[in-house]
Amino acid sequence: MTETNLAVRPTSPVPHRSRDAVGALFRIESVRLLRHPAVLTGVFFYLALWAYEWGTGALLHRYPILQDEDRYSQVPLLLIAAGAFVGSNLIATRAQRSGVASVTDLFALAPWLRTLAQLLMPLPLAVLSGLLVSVRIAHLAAMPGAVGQPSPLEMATGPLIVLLAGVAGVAVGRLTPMVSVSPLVILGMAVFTLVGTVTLSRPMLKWWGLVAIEDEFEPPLPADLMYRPVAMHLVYLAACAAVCCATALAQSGIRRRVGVTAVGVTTVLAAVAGAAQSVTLPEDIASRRTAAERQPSPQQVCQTVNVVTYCAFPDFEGRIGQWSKVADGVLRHTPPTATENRYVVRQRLLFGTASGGISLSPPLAAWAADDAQAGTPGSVPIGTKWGTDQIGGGAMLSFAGHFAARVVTGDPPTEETALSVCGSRAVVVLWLAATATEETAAALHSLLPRTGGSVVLPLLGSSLALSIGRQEVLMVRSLLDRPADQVSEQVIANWDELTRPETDTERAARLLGTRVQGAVAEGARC
Amino acid sequence: MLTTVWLLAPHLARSSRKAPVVLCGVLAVALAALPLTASYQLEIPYAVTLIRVVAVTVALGVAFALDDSASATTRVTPTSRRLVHLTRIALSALPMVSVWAAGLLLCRMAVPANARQYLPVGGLALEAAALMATTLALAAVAVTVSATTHGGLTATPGLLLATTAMTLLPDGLQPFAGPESARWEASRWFWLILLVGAMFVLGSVLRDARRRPSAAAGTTAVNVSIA
Repeated sequence: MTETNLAVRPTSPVPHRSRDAVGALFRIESVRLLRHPAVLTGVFFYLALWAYEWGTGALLHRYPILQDEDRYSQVPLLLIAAGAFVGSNLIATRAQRSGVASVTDLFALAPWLRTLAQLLMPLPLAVLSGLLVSVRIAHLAAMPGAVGQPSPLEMATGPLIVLLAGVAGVAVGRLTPMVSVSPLVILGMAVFTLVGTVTLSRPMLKWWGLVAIEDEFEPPLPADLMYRPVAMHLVYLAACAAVCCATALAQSGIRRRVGVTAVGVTTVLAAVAGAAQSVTLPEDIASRRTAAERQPSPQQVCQTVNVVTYCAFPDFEGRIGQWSKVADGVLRHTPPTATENRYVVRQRLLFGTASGGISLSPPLAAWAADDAQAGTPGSVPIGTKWGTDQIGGGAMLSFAGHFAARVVTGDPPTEETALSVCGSRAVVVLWLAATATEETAAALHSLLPRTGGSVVLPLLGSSLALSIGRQEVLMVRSLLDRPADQVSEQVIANWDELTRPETDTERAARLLGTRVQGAVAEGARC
Repeated sequence: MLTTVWLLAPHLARSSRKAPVVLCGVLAVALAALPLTASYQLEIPYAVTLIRVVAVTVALGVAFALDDSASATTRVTPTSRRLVHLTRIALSALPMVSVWAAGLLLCRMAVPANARQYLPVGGLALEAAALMATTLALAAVAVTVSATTHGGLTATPGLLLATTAMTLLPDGLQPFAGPESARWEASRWFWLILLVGAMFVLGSVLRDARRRPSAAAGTTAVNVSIA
């Protein structure tokens, strides 16, 4: 934060035309903004967060969905935007802070042209932010678990916010030379963003802010079923930047009438663009969503891996390899009779699970009709959530559980099938699910401390769930402590008896060479 | 020493910047009073978030405490530099601590009576103290290595950027852990270490110049001549 004169460097020849002078000032100021400590700190924190995620291997287990990642890229860019605001504000107030404001009146270049050069100054930083976002998305797309397609409009939002922050810093600097105001403006924007994230019941509020954060408990969607007024939000942000430009120029000695008109027109524009960000779901997307929920088979692509056919929305086709690892892991510990069957796994969407909670029941009849029409009866549904975090890991374990239940019971998931997974069957299902992959084992281990000892595996977050009682969970935990191959041999040898609905937990314990621990939980449905 | 502080206080108050303290104080109280004025019943996680926002606002208020354009002229006075700086800090920090306490009370009043006991006041006070100490440490470093009026200019963006970066950390490292999360206890250690570290930096940066070997001879000579 060293002090310099606003004038063009004395060593360079003084430009005669004002356009050249504005260009020269823009070049000097934009470089100064790029290397401003506040901007450098913002970029450093941005890169540090990214490097941490990369270094700890968290990115490798992220299973990124690119149509969501484009949106997530906006929030970390707020660090650079905050740096841009502070940096441009300090550059705009430099003359006043150094006590040389009156000297700058002697410059040949008109004050409004000097302000114009400063308003253009954040452009290179915005381009740099765009580059960072592109590299970030390319990095995520190169991950082995990445699926989907990013939206260029969502990717452009972050850099536009950086540009807006830069011009807003100049505008605030022109309104007041008090440097203590700019941190409060940033704090105000941060509070507004925070309010937008916690008032999800009022979805319109967040669109008036910089970034619109979605309810991340909602399952991810294929790109063509998503609806966010992104294009209008970009227009709104651009209009806000125009308001800042007009305000800064109006404060820099242009004719009063022109200044007031410009501020008025741009403010109206921003208000109209802000109000035009409609959050009401358009009719065609609503009908497409209904079709995708109830009859997704015509739009899905299917692939057969070993004995299982997987059908996914085109955006999620890359997930099939990951699903097959889990399904193969379940089938690895089953006898050849179980793998003689052919299985179908079909991706399903269920809307309203985040708001409706566990009371939402899946449209099983419609799904069965859809399967019958597609010639894939008895499919096991799988959602769009996938990952190793709390939510994604739970979804992964639930799929493994429902697939194992399909193998053990021979029936697709219904309320009756779920109720029939009791005693010995429950032990086998949970053990198969947990030993399917290292990630499902980790998911069970992270789930157990959060439950009262029993395990509930909901189907796509709905009310249809496999409930595994405390005794069975304790037995599975003791089985997981033993070598999987040893338990596998016993499971395969006693498969018929273990998977019979009437075999109880005690019998299963004897067959698997372990014993029943703990008491049956009160109110257990088995 | 108390007499010296008593004599110094009005002059230091006059040469301190009041606008940041007043602006941040008003903003902090206004933010904390929002739920009460809107008759909104705050749940504990929201109350904790709001108290954290108040803590950041309060920390911004003390960022300009050490800015003193006249410090070059007062360096040669016989009064301990550390005492002058500590008095300056106290003049900003005491009102801001009161503002934080008022903010806490306002948020607490917006929490339903039966849930108030679950508000982790001690842990939140530790966070607020650590944020304030870090801001002052940043300002003290800036005042020492850069210009004497660059304390607030450096500390406020530093605090805001660091706070934003902290909120973006993954759950396993999150310093702003939820009061009911398993990370709450572990995250208190982070704040305690930050507080102690910031106090150490503050103490070592604000030590008296005459103790520096290189500056010792000159300072003593000036002091003697003034005395």
